[in-house]
Amino acid sequence: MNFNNYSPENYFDEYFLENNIPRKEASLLVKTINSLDEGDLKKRQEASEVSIRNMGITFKLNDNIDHERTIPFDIIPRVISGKEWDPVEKGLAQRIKAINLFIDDIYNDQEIIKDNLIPSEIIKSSKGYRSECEGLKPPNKVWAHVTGTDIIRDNDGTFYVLEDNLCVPSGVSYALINRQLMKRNFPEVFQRSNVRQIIDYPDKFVKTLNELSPVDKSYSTTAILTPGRYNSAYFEHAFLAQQMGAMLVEGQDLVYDGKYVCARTVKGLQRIDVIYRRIDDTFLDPDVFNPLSMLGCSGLIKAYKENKITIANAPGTGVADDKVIYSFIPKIIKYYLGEEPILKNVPTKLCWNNDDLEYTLDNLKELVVKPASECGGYGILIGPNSTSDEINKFSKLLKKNPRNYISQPTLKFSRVPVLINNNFEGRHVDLRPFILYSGSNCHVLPGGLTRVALKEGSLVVNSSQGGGTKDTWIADI
Amino acid sequence: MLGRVADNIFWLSRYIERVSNTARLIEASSYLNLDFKINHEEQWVPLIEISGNLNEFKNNYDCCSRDEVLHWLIYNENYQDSLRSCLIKARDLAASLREYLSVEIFQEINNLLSLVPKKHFNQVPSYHYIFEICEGVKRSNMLISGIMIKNMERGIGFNFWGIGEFLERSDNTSRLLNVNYFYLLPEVEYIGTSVEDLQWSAILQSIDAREAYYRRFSIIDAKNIIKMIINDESFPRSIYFCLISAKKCIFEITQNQLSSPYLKLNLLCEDLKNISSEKIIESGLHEFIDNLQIKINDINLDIFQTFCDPRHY
Repeated sequence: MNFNNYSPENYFDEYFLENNIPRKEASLLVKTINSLDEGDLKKRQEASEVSIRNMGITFKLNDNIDHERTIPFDIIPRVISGKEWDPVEKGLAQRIKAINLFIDDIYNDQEIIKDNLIPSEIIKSSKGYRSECEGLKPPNKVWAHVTGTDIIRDNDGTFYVLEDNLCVPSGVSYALINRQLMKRNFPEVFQRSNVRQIIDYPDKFVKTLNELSPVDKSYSTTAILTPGRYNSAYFEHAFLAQQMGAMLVEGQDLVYDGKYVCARTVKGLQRIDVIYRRIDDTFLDPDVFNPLSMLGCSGLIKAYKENKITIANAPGTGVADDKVIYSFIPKIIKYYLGEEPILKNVPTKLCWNNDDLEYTLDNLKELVVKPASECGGYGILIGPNSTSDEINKFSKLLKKNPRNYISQPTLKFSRVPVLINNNFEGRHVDLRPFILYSGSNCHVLPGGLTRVALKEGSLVVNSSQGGGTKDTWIADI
Repeated sequence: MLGRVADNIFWLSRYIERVSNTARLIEASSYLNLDFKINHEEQWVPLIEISGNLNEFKNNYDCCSRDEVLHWLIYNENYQDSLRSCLIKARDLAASLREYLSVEIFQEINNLLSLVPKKHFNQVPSYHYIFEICEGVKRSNMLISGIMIKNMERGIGFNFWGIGEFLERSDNTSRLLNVNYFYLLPEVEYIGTSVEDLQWSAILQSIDAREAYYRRFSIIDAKNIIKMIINDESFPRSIYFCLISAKKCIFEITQNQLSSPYLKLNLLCEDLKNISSEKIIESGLHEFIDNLQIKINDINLDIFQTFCDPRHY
């Protein structure tokens, strides 16, 4: 099996410039794969799948309690040259810095609203806005300690930010596991490709959290708060706890002793200094948010406000996940940092503006329409792939609730070869790098989780909708 | 370590030990029954009695022959202690303990369930296959113990694992003795016929003690067997050995402070150490074992209340 019949077609292909002419950063891999014995690659692919299943790396769809499945893993890594990656890394760091300043501002002085850059009603109507957090001052003014920003490459290879996942971004465990599988399968090419390492991510994460702990970092206790075993991302919570040496706690394990949040341990109550929470804001503390929540801990927010515990990410951070607010990020960067944004946003129309709504309604067949507050690829209209019924349905939805929708041109995401049956076929990919931020330090994981739409022609990469993953190599060759 | 996590480790360890005990029992009984002549009545009822659920079994099956008993003990998901039920619970617990368990142990437990596939629900497979299941379960259990001993830091989790394993094993050994004694020793004088020797030998086999026993005593003798099973200091499946080991684990957890479950176990061990087989038989083995199990159950509860119960905070 080889790449001789593989064609980039009319897309930006990350492996090939044209038929049989690989890009520099992919040429070593292409050569190696072409020289493998017949059936060898398939064997390695199957061995990796067995490893994944044995390790119990499963993903669970929320609507199906019993059905656990593995995320399809594709053995052909994605390669991006270090030179192309460096500006992305800078752009992400710049973006996260600005977003943190923005979130701190809107919950405190609201200068950006006073300066008329962004209307107050947009912020207040964001699904992630928490009035309970007004006046909160998290340590170092850091709200988003860890972010999983989704980026894509357009048809000319330019990187664009598709969305920021600030509240509870997931997927980093898959990136780390995929890397392990690739080192196992392509050790020599991996080494010769000079791939930037990602194994220190858990260490970096611990350091980031320790920097913001209310106590001395040498005896700070970190806990990861999970909804529990039946959550779709439980594997990741457990994996991170194991890698970071953190305690994995559920709401029932926590108790507020009047001053501190503590875990119920075999030897009595133990104080927790930092909580990395993997539950939504509204479940964090029944005293402040949803009073019926069993997942959080009564008193948590009180302790937080008294600086007895650090919460990552801070409650209220999700305000910037709103896709209407996303469209303001380039302005936000300029406003807070006085710099031009390094990474571009996808040009976005806000249906909240009458002109934009009209434009969107007139061009539904060409556009992508997204709800402002959903994630997981749900509730999206991809115009060119839609039936007239779907278009009519969206047209009604948009008119009914324009604030809740944005539209963007349908981009031609870049493609990467994928092993399908016994062939290489081009498939669209996106990328979710993970960014750690402590105010004084910013670390961008080199690469991230590449998600691939396995269905031919599809642009939907979400694992909840049948997407797969690949290892991502940032290669300095 | 969280109390909830410690409790889960304790139960995971118990279920893993339980399935391996059940597998040993099934294996030993199967080999024993194969030695009976075709028209001799095979003995399957004791297997159900050892697990203490004869009434429940009778409510589910019309008769009590090989297929029914093996179905009940291996496949029936409605029976809480069947291999399949225990393995499902073990896998569930292991999944909730991922951050604590090493990848190798998790993989081993995750794969165990595939030994008892659903497809055999309607038709209990042949002996050949039953032996494969039993061997697989036993081997996997030893692998897990090996990984634990070689890799796991001697912290609280390791000791909770130990308590679960040893208490489960002592419970299992005592049930085994109790039931077989009923069949074998209505009165002490009757021992000596060859069928009974075979059965005693099967009991020893089911706790992996046959070879160790013969090395020491050479011939089958009920008193020696009872001694070996109840209060031998060196045999790792004797009740005394298990309780002493569990006691050491509790001592480690509290770092040398004397907790209430420790004191209770200590007392029980002292009692066991000094008692002779003759005395046990004379005063009634049933009463002796019933009494022992009541005490072990109480210690079990005390461990939960002392270390894991959230109502304590």
